[in-house]
Order: sequence, then structure tokens, then C-alpha cells
Amino acid sequence: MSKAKVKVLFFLFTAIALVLSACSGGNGNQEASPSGAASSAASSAGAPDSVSDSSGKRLALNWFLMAPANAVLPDGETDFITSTIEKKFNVDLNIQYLPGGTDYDNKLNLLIASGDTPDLFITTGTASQKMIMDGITADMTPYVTPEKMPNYFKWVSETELQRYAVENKFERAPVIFPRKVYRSYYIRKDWLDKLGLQMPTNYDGMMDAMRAFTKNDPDGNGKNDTYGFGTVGSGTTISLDFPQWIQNGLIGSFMIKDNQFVDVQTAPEVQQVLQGVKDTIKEGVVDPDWFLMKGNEAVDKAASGKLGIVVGGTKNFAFDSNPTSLQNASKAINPQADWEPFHPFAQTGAWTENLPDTAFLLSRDTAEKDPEKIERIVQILNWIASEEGFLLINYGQEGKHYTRSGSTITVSQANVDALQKDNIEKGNFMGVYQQSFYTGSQEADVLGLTVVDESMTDRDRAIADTIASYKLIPSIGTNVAPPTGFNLADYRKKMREYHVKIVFDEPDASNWPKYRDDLLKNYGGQQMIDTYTEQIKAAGVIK
Amino acid sequence: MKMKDQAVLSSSLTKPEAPSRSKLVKALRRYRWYYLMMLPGILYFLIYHYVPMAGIIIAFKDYNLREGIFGSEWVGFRNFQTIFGTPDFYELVRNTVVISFYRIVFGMFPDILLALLLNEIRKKWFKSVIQTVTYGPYFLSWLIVYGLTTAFLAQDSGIVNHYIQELGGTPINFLANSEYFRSILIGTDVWKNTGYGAIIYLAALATINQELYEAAVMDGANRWRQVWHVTLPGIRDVFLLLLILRIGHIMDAGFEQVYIFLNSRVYGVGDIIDTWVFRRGLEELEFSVAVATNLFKSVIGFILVIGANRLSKKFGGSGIW
Repeated sequence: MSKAKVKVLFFLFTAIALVLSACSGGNGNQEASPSGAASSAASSAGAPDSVSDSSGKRLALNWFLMAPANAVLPDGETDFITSTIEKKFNVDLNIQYLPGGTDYDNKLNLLIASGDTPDLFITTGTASQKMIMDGITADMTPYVTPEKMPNYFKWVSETELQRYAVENKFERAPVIFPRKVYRSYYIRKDWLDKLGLQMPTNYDGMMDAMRAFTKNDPDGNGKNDTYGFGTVGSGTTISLDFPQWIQNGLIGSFMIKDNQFVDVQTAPEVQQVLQGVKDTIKEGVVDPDWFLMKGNEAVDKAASGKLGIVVGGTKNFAFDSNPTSLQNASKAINPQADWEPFHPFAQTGAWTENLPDTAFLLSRDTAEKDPEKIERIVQILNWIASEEGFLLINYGQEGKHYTRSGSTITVSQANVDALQKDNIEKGNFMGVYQQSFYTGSQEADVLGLTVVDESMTDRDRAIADTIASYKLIPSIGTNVAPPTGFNLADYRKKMREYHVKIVFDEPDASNWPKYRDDLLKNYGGQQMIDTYTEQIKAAGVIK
Repeated sequence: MKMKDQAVLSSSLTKPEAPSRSKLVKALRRYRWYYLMMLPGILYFLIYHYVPMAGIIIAFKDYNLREGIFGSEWVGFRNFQTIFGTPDFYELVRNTVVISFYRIVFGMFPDILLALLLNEIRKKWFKSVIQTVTYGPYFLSWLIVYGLTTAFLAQDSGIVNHYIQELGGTPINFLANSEYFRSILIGTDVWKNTGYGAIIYLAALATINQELYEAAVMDGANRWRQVWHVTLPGIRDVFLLLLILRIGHIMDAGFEQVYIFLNSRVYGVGDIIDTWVFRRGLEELEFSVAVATNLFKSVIGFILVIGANRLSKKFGGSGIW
């Protein structure tokens, strides 16, 4: 090897070494950033006045939001919500979004663990607790106040906010959540008619319909390929969609019964529920693939004409006017399809009233380092909760997607078509905001607005009326947090494992009392129930 | 070049009276370019593999996301107590070891078998085609493999159950059945990874001296005898090396795959340490427990590798070092 060659090689390797060390330097900085952030935060917190006069400065904000599965935020002006916010508040929004669920939580946890906590993020109630305990989140006392966010407090009361706090720390607040519950069973009315059956009004009627749908070839294709009922188990759980839960007096996931807190899936009555589910499955009227199906798969299967009854959770689940509804998806395959809502327990209690669930949280790092960012976010959130924000996010642009006279908002068919073109076909960006800040609900009456949706058919209005007539039982009144040191994930995992074992692998449900005992004693279930009971007592809901 | 190095080495060895310090300096000077060239590699290992090891200390701390690695509070062995106090922990360890063991047994032999078969093919184009085809599945993600598996094995819509029904049998929910779960794991693993595994053996086979075969033929060995006396001994060292490495990973039962295939009906046979760590560590943000578990796993793996290496040497193999 000649000397010149060696020299060339030497320079090459020095260059590589430099690049490598530069990378590692960047890495080191990143790891050190939480503490660096803290120290600079301390200095800027000492001089808050210096930032207030630069409120005109353009700020870059990182948000982490929940999105519907089909949403893709487009760039530029197409997304009129983001561009409105960016112009109005002089910010650059960097929005990351995923559909809610395990992947969402993991992505967010990873961001936080690597020191890139978003300035504003949305999580489920349970996930937010650990973040608050670990000090990831900012104290909201100076920010989320009736003075700073008057619009938000039209939607959420101060009592609710107080009860939503974790361990008396005001570090999370619920996003606007629906007051009405739209959960309902939907049934193929055309199948009922074909088989000469009545709309079921009770549990037995529902079971009869399921049997007939399975055995009497309701779609008339000469093949035995339909099922009475379908749901998703996500490979883990006995879905609460099974009517056997409510049939045995277990409604929702938590409830108050005889002045007692009940964790529905741990209750003694689960024995009868599991027995019932077991028997129903044995009859062959439930889609056999239900246990491993996830997400939207049962609704998709219903749309393809294989299922007679499914559960829908949104208002426009089967509306004619909702282009993506089950009704329209089914009609594309079979024009006769007609999904109608019903509930076997409409009179006695179909579900519990809603509690706030999804939370928005603010990064403590940002609050300490860049309080003006938080101030700006709070202004934006207040705008989102305002009439203007509500209409833009939920109904689109005035004149184009709706017309307004006084407090009446009118949405015509032409408006709906325009919205379809401007939103749904452009990646359903409105869905990201609707899902994240309004939990997908559009309760205009809170703002004193009346919405006349001309595209809604009489059938749609009838569906809305039917669902509105279902009786709801009161919620447990407050959000509850599991005791410290108790591992909820391990507990629920074991609980579901026992449920599933009974339903699939045991001759009957007689082992439940034994399993329940194990859960309460060895997996900390009793401790959890006691802690929840205390918290509910403290809120004054039970005595 | 190599000759020169050896000459230098031997000449320095023959002069033991020289002071060792100056010898070291001399050697360093002499090979400075090589040391410089080594530097990036060494830096890489230091920065990305050794420095992060300091993170292990959070196994003994109550890791708080905000306080960071060094600011969190020390808790001694509390995290380990939590792990060993988890009621399901022994079931998790058992599942992990059993699945790993199956993977070693049923994962290594198909690799060798495929390599041997490919090695016997004389038509070059045919060999290339087969090799490419068998190598293909390696590039699919487990998510896709799971999708394919569902298409075959789902209870209502799967092809296999369709035929079972046609033939008058009752459909079986393969993916949610404890009896089939591990077999499905191993089966899909073999399908996905055999082509890739065979490549290493093919490389080893290519290094076998052809004269050995010629000699064997001269001695009257038929094909089988050649495989037995020449081919297999030729790849023995590679096999042992891979075996030892895999034994070291016995506490890793393939998280990516198991996590995707797992459901609550098969927790009893399929839930492994890593899926538990994932649920507990990442989903519940208990990083300390996760790190402690992995430390425990690493210690076991380390002991096993050392042990396997010793055994291999004892029985005349070369070991890995």
C-alpha cells in the first residue's frame, strides 16, 4: 500500500469518524434535552414578561391527535381547519395522528420516553393517569379557566373538571364529549320482513330473530351463509355487545347497583352472562369469526350481507345521509338492505350515561420552557369550542357547506355533496378535529343552534328519535383511578382470559365463582373495587 | 502485506529484553493507520452498544419519564420482586422456553435440509430459482404472514375450514386453540425463515474442499456416505456456532411474531416474557419493570451461551471463542 493511498484512506476514515461523532453528538444532546429543557425553562419562567410582548411571533406547535381510521391530513389550503387556525393564531401546526387504540398509546409513549413530548396531546382517560403521575403534564390551573376558555366551559362544567382530576392534580381536562348515547342494536328490517317476523322488542324476540337469520336463509341465495349476530372480540374479550350482559342486569362497564359500585366484568352475575353467551354461540347464530375480528370488521361483514344484527355506536351509523354509513355500504351490495335500530332493553336501561373519557393534556416541558406556546394552545382550544370553531370543524365553511340564518344552520343536499368533495375525498381531515376535540359528536343545541339537515331523510330522523327514546341509567358520576401499585393491565388480561376460557373451553360457567375469587384475591381486584368505591363516595355519588 | 506483519510480529517476539512500554508505543506508531481505521468501528460499538448499557441502572430505579435515567429514585431490587411476584410469571417463562426450544429444534433442521438439497442440485438456473423462491417469504412482515395465516385458518372464512366442512367435518378455530397455537407459530416461522437460514449453510457448504469428495468417491462412497462423511462434518462448526447463539437467545421467543398472533384464548400457551414486558413496560409505562425483566433475561442468556460454548469445546467443537 503506497503512502499516498494510505493518506487518502486516512482522510476518508477521519471523515467517517467525524460524521459518526456528529451523529452521536446529536444523540447525546437529545438524551440530555429533558434536563436541558428544565434548566432553560427555569430561566424563562423567571422572566415571563419578556415573552408576552412577542405574542405576534409565529410559533410552531406539535400536536398529537386521534383520528378516524380513514383520515389523512392534506397539505396546504385544502385542509381549511388547520389553515384557519394557522392564520388566525399565527402558528405552524405539526399534527401527528393515529386512530385511537394500543398503537396510538404506544406511539405517544415512545415520543414521551424519547423526550419529544408533544405540546398538546389527546389520550384515553386511563393512559393519562400514568403520565400525570410521572409529571409529564403541565398544571392546567393557570390555563384552563373560565376566564381564558369561556367557550370550553359551555360544554364542560367545573364540577366535571374537578371530578376528572387525578389525585387532586388538575393536569388533564376532558375533550368535549357527547351527552347523548347513540349506542344501539341495528337489525336487517328487510330480512325480518322476508321471514315474516316482527321487530324484536325484548331479549327473546332478539334471540328468535338471530336464529331465523341464521337458519332460514334470509338473503334467499339458497346458501346457509348468514349469521344472526356479529361483533368483534379483538382476540381478547367477550364483547359487551352481547345482549346477555344487559339481560343479566350488567349495563356499561361500570355501574351503580343498590348503592354499590359494580365493575361489570368482575360481577358475580358474569356467570350467567358467560353461560348465555356460550349457549348462543353453541346454537351457531353468532358469526364464528367474531373472536379474532378487530376494529370495523364486524360492520364490514354486516355491510357485505352476512350478519343480521350488529351494534352501532354513532348517531349516523345507519343514516341515508351519511355516505359511509352501514346503510349505504349495504345498499351498494344489496339495494333492498334496510338497517333499523332497536334495543331489547330500551325500556329498562340500554346503557349508562356518558362520563368524560378522552383527555387533552399539555406538556410540562413546554409549559416551563415556552409558556407562550401553551397560552396560544389555550386560545386555539377556546376557539375550537366556540361557535365559529364548532361550525367549521363539524359542518365546514359557511355558504359552501351550510347556510345560516339566525341560530338555524341549514345543510342542504348540495352542501353535503360539496362537503363530500372537499373533505371526505380530500382525506377526511375534518374527522381528525371532530374525533379529537368533539369525540365525534355534534351537539349543536349546547350552543343554542338548531341544525336542519335537509339531506336527512325521514328514515334518518326516525332512527335518531328511536335511539333518543332509549332509557339510560346514571353513570358512576365520577372518573375513577386504580390504586397505585395495582396493575390494571395484568388484572384485565387475566379476567378476559378467564371469560374466554369459560366461553370456549369449559363445559359450563360453573367455575366463574372460583375464578372471580382468584381475580379478587391474587390479582388485586378487591383492592381496585375498594379504591373505586372510595373515590365514588368521595364524589358524593353513593353513600 | 500479511507476510510483513508476521515478520514484524515474530521479530518483536524474539526480542523480549526490550522495555515493553516503548514496544507498545512503537507498535502503535507502526500500525497507526490501522488503528485509525479501526476507530470508527470501535466508536460505533462504544457509542451505540456500550454507553446505552448504562441505562440498565433503571432496573434498580423507579424510572420516571420526567426525571430521566439518572434523576429517578433508587429502589434496589423492588422491580425484581414485582416481576417474580407476578402470578403468571412462571407460566410466561415456561412458554418462552418451550417456544424457543421448539424454534431451535424445528427451525434449524429445515435450514440444513434445504441447504443440503439445494447443494445437490446440479442445474444452476434451477438452483437459483428455488433459492429465490424460498428466500422470498423472509422479506414479508409478520403482519402480512398473519393475514395469510388467517386466510387459510380462520374458522368461518378460512380455506382450510372450508374444505373441512366440505368433507363433513366440524370447523376448527385454529388460531384461537391452545392445541394448535405453538404449531402454527413454528410452522409459519419455518415457512418464513427457512430460505434465509439455508443461505448460511450454503455458504459453509461452498467452502468444503472438493478434493474431499473426490477422495471419498475414490474410496467407494456413495451419495449418502459422502453427505455423512464429508458434507455434514464440513458444516458442523457453523451449525454449532448458530446453535450456541440461539441458545443464548432462549429467553427471546420471537416477540414480533407472537405479539401479532396472540389472543386471549391462547395466553396459557402463547403469552411470553416479551409480550408481557410490552404490555407492562410500554403500554403501562413501567420502564423499570421492563428493563429489570430484560436484565434477568440477559443474565440467563449469558450463562447459557458460556455454558453451551464450554460444552461444545468439551465435545471437540470449536465454540464461538
